[in-house]
Amino acid sequence: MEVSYYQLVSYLGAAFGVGLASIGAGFGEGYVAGEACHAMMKQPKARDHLLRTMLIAQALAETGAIFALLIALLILFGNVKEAANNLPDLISVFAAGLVMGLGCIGTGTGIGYTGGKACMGIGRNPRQTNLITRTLFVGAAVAESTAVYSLVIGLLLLFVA
Amino acid sequence: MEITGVEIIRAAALLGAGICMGFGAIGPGIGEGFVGGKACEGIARAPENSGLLTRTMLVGQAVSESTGIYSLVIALLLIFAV
Amino acid sequence: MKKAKKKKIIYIILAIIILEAAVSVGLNYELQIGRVDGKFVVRNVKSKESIKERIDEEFQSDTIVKIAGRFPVNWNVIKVILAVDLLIILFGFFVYKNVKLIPTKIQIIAEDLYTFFRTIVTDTIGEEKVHFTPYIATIFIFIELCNIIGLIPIPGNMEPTRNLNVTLGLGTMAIVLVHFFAIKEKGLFPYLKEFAEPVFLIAPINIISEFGNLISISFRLFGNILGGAIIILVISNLTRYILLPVGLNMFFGIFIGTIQAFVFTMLVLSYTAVAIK
Repeated sequence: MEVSYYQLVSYLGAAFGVGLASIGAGFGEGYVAGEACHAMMKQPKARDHLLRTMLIAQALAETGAIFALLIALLILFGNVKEAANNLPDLISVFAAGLVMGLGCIGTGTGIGYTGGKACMGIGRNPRQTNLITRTLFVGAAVAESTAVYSLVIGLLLLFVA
Repeated sequence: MEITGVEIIRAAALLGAGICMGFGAIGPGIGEGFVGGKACEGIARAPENSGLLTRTMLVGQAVSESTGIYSLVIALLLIFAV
Repeated sequence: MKKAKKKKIIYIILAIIILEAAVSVGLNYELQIGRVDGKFVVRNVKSKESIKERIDEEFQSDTIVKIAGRFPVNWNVIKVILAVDLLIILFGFFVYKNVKLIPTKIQIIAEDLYTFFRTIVTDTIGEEKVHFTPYIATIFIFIELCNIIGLIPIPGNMEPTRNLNVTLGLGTMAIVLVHFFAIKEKGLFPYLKEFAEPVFLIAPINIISEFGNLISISFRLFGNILGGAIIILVISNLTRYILLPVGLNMFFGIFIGTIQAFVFTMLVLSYTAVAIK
């Protein structure tokens, strides 16, 4: 029987990538939404600001998972190393999925925590919405940098190594 | 498919690069997010100290990010130097 | 009046969609509009280039041109940067020449930008360091324009920040200026002494962390913009690029581009604040 090892590594890599990345993103976005609800309960007048901040924070927390989806789509549909027949090329496809999946657990959780605390802060002190949103942007973008490093390593594994 | 010893070493280096950057990204991500969250909370409580809080947040995040950068360097070495 | 405006917006969006569909080239497919065998067709055909070649192009889109026969430059990147520079200079010149007591629309934009950054600078560094405002605002406007210029659908037009050399150059400039300001503010010996804080043994780690700052701000900008570009390329292919690429372009070009430009600016400002205090 002719066995395609590429299919083996690509299915495993895509599954690990998106599956692991979803842990962080799901946890983080849920935390943001929970804190936003809590803040709305305390301060119903600020609900417009809170809804906006919540959606922005969730979009930021999801960026890592979108990168993971990108790597998975590239692995599955991109025909990147389909003709590969040696071990290093096959392993690099699996490693690209793994690095993106693991890399997003931390950033998703971390950005979610930042967004949640920002929502809580707006609920406590709605007058400082601009200041808090600014801090949220900077803090979340710095926390995201490790996901970007993972993306760079994943793309290098797929296309250069 | 025949596998030679050199290929196994190369494959291990590539898989190692993936594992290194992947696990190395978990800690800094959570830690930096924690710093950012606490800074937001602090600014809500004491908005007049926002400059100080933002500076402290960035310094703390830069320090906690250094492990992520070590992972990046090691992963690049594993891909290109091994 | 309002209805006419809405109609105009709809026409603009339609024009963008058609342009996008016409110029966006997918991974293995591309859109074909025209007459084939006497019939008018709009369909997808298999393209000659594979996805791997296309993404390789994204990585190394270099066209080396030698200026005066000696200095090699990457013309693909330089031409877009020159266009951005020209836009900024024209904008500044136009506003400067037409200052009025009752401001025109373009003057309001410029004044708003200045006031916004003035507030941020005085909040972060202090009231007496307000002369940093033009420097900080220029960094933001330059990176923001570089990030969103890729939205204009002209073949060969790409964001300069998608190239690692550009972002590393920007980061190096920013970090070197941070140290320059620190030396100017404190004097050379107090500045050097800070590296040995709190213990002398820790100095190598302090120096490494400065390089860490440089790597992190450059790679963050580069990775986000490159990731966005490749996502648009991949998903356009899967959906046969009808409608969705426009929304994705808006998300990655405007939302992510603006946030990354703002974050770069804020980080440069905060590093400066940490260094000179």
